[in-house]
Amino acid sequence: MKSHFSHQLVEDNKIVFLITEHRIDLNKVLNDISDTSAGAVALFVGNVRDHNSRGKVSAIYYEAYKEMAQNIMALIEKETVDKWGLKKFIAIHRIGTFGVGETSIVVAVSSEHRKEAFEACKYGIDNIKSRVPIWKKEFTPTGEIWVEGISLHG
Amino acid sequence: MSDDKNNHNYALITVRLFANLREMVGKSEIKLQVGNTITVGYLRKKIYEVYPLLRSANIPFVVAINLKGCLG
Repeated sequence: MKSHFSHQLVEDNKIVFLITEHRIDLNKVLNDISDTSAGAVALFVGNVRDHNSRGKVSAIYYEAYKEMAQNIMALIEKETVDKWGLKKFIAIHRIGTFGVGETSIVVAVSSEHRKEAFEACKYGIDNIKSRVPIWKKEFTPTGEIWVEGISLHG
Repeated sequence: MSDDKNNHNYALITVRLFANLREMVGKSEIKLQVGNTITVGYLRKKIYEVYPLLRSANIPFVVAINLKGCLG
């Protein structure tokens, strides 16, 4: 997957992490996550919502500390693969400015059985959201606002 | 942050800023002269001295040093 801004970590074809300014290709993710030894694939797709707790949202902007994001993503992916014995793990986060309905993040996992797939996928997205240094700004009718996010604890 | 210069008493460090901090300061990177051994609290205080607007804005921020998150 080409990008003006991307970091990709591939280890034994099991783990892929990408930060990109380009639109995320979900069909490619589904194709890449498949594995003949995996009976289950779990996919989380995060899209830009048209509202927040205060009102309408017209667009969002994501900004990343790319060097640290790559390190923490690698750690999260290793934790997830090791804990649930995954076949593959893919996480892609889009940065830059884009609109409502567009996909900002994808986490995909494949495993032998569905229990591991569901749990690993949730673990992956929860930890990416809370630990990876990527910040979000929402554009609303009343102005722009940065949304509080990460804890930066490794 | 990175340690750019060391002598007996101080170090010149690079502080990278992101998101709302970057916007308020107007730069993505600043240089600060600090002691050789500092705490997160001291760093925060030093930043506030140079950019008092950040103190009054009372923005919560997180600190990472050499790509590792810090408490405090």
